[in-house]
Amino acid sequence: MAMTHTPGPLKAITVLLLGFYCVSSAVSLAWVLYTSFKSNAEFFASTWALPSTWRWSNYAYAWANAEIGHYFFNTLYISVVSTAGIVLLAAMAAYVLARIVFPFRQFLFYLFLAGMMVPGMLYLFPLFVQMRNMHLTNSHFGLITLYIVTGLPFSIFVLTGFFRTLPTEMEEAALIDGASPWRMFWTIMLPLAKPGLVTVSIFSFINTWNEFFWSLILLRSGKLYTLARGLQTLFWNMSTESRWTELFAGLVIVMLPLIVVFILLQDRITEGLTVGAVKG
Amino acid sequence: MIQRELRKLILPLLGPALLLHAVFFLLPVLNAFYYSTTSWSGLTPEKEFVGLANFVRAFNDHTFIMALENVVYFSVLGFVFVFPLSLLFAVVLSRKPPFERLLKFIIFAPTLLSVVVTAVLWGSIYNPVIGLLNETLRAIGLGELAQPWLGRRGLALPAITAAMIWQGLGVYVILFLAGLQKIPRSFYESAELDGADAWQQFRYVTVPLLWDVVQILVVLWIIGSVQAFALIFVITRGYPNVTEVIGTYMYWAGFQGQSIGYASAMGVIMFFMVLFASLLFKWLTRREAVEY
Repeated sequence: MAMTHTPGPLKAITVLLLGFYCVSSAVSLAWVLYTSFKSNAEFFASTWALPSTWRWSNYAYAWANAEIGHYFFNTLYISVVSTAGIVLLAAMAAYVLARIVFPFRQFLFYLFLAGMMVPGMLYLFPLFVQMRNMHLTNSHFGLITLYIVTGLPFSIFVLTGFFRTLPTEMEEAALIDGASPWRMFWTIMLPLAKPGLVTVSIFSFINTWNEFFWSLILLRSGKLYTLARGLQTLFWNMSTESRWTELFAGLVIVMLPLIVVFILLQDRITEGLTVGAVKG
Repeated sequence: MIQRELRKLILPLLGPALLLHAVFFLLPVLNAFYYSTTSWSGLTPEKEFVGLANFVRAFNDHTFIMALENVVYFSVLGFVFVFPLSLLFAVVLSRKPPFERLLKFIIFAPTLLSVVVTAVLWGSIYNPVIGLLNETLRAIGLGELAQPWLGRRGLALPAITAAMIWQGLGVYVILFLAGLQKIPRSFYESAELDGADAWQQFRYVTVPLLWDVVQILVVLWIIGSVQAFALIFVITRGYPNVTEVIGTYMYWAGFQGQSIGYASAMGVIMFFMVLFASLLFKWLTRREAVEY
């Protein structure tokens, strides 16, 4: 590939620069990990030192007392339902936009895409007021609705591209055999889109799992919090509580599922990030 | 014939998504433009029309101007670092380096983490008392360099830019990597036959052919900086402060300051900044792209 014979000094600078970045990045993550096993007394005595004993009790505290466990299941429930909703509705809409010729088709496609370009900050207040009037604030149902709406544009974009690549003979054959268009969509076209559906599901799940902005706006009571919202509250309380090592245990609990998912699905995720990044 | 049959599907399949999109996206977007022309506090039902007064107020508001400056600062400083760093990483990764999977993990993992995780991690690194950064400086005998990193504007802006870069780098590396993989090998071979050295190959083959990617990258980075909110909001605990950006200031104005009209006007300004930056950059770079 490029620069097969990189000159010595250039190579040295590159290695140093990138090496410094990678090492400090890895050290910071390792620091969070081992600090999460220290006592707060040890932590305040020395920020750098390794724990004298590995205190799993920090995790028990974060999970139960700091309610990370509770937020974990809230987040799991919200992410699963939102992802299912996004993928289902996006697949239905994308099929129509990709395969059926009708007036304003292109216009409607761009109308959905606008959802990816417009900053959420623009319509934050009108949306909040509207959802308050609809009694959808401070409720998981309202949050899930919003996650579906904000997840649709990207998923429709990806799935429309996917449906366009499928051969038209499939639909013709099914309809000539006497299947209704409705059955043809669910039993033939939807299963064919499976690879696209998997990609979109992974992304929708990661996005809703991590989502912070709308949960900050919509959720008021602590028992409804998601992981991101709960972790933020825990961090803000540090100025009065100083239970840093338990906070770090919570941080690890929040990071761990995504890191496992990333290791398992690395190639698919990097591929999907490319699609996601070009959307702008 | 087939199409006529298929059209029966339009309403049942497209309807639900379109309805949700209209009610929870299009309607509030239109309302945002409407609210921005009123002096609505959010508490009373009546919304008094004030024309462009909110926009005039914004450009005479010192905090808003500072937020605007900070956004420009994040865009420029972040870009100066993100661009070469992500290009370097992409070139290295495209050459199948040792520890490739580990490298990819270190670069891409931050992109996948919640913005709150990034904020808590960097907030802890910068903490003046127990923070990793000050403790490291003290440990290696540079204790006098220890600082309240988020306290003064001159330090807080680059400190937060570093966190933004750490979080965003992965996406840019992937974009460059995808661009590099599209360049045919034969281009480098013929350049080499013509006697081009490594630097010349990079300068005259790689860079021009990556121009499309650079365009996307710049627009993405600007959009990201203009919309910046969560990272700064969480790190600074939601208090008004020196690293205020449009996002954090309008959140404060709307929810604490009880002026939905003014906050909406800031949102409209943000929208036009994003739109303008994207269009301007597309226009500036329109002739530079190379077809191959």
